[in-house]
Amino acid sequence: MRPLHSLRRSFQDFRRHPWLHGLSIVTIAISLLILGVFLVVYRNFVHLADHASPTPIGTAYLQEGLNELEVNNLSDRILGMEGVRDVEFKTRKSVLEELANFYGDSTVDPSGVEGFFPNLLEIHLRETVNEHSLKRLADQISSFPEVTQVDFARGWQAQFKRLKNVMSWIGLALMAGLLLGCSFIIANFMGMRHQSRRRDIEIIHLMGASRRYILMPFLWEGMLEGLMGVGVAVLALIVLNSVFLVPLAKQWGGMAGIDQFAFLSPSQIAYMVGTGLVMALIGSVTVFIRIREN
Amino acid sequence: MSASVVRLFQVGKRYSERYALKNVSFSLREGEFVYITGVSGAGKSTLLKLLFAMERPSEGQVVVNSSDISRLGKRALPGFRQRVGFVFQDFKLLPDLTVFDNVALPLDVRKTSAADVEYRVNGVLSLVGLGDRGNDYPTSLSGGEQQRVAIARSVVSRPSLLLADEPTGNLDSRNAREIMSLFREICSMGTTVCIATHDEFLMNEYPARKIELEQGTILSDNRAEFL
Repeated sequence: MRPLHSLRRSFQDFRRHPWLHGLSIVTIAISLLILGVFLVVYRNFVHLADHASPTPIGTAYLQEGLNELEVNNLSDRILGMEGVRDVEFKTRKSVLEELANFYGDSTVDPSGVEGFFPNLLEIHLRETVNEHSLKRLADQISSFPEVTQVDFARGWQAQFKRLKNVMSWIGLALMAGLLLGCSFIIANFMGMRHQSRRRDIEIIHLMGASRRYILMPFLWEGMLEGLMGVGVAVLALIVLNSVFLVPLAKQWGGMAGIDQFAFLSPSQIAYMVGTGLVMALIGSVTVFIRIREN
Repeated sequence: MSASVVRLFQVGKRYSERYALKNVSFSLREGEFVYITGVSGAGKSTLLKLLFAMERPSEGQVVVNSSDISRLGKRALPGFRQRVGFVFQDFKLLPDLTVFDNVALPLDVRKTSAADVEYRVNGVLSLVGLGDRGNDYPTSLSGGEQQRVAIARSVVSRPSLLLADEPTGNLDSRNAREIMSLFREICSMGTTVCIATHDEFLMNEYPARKIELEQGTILSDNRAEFL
């Protein structure tokens, strides 16, 4: 059969049942919008986390009363260790000044809390350092008598990794749930259309039409609905991005050190297109089954 | 002598315990014009449904265009239907398609080229006297015109057998006569025409072989008169 003819028949049905098709498109669009919002949040979460800590940094808190020679000696020993890129000595005063600069002069008074902070060495690591070598490094530095405590933010990193994993799983579950739920709704809309076209199908069948001839328009309709749903969802996301994210980044992005929030990547858009098509396709398959049963 | 297009041998059709057809045997030759007649419930429509493979016989053998209906698989059914035309009492036209597209439907399902569709559809529309109504929709046509469209659709793919179930049942006498003339014309082109009707008046006006059914069995067949 001529594909263009079945496509034309699909368009005819769009004109005949605009509400049913519209509802299917809106259902797909809303589900993909939820998925799209999640993808944008996930992308920015990873982006912000990467931005906040481009290279791992550790802190070695020092004993009280070390002289300059002892500090330099310790710095050299640490610098000679594998995976360490740079070591910087910071006095309690300089740390408090940094804090004061970050929060603004009026919020932190260095003189009042000076006693809480020891002097420290800020240890900048190479990006190649993995979790295993990080632990070994922390153990080695902790064993030096000049050091009271070592913090490589391993807890935070593990927490971040866990959170990233959880978000990935939530994303997968969300996608699976949306896929199932929306496919069910779309299948019902398609079922209603099938029901309304039952007489037509019966007549076409009596004219000697094969099952493929009868099913092709449903397949086209599914694909068109899927694509239109994706289009609406992406448009809505672009609008949401320009209305909320762009001003948000302008106002608050400076605090996190970013100019703008990340939008969907091309691969994420492709992912959404695929999801929309799969949703609609599952709807079409149920019509296939209904026709097969009849 | 011309070949048999239809052959029924001791055919029975049972719905649960009741027989709609029982022990029916006859054959139709190429280019023959036949009435299947009888009162309501005599089994006329069931017989046509068997010939169009809308139903399967419970007993006996139905052979149409060399295809045994009992053995016809689901995949073979579209091909079988493409060689048999059927005119329904309620026309069964698609209201959203134009007259042209309705008539073109059997050709479309056969993947006929656009040029051939154009040529053949215009040809049959002229034959049924609707050459200038191709762009109209069925709802804008009268009952007689709708039945003409249905006939045009049933013959556009040049079937060897044309079945019609009470084709004049919904028409006034003038339209009924015109439709009958049309069937005769189609038959004269070599198509076997089998019409289920109980309209005695039309059968007398257009005499042909008459197979009369009563309670699912053949009461009479005047085949010999038309040999």
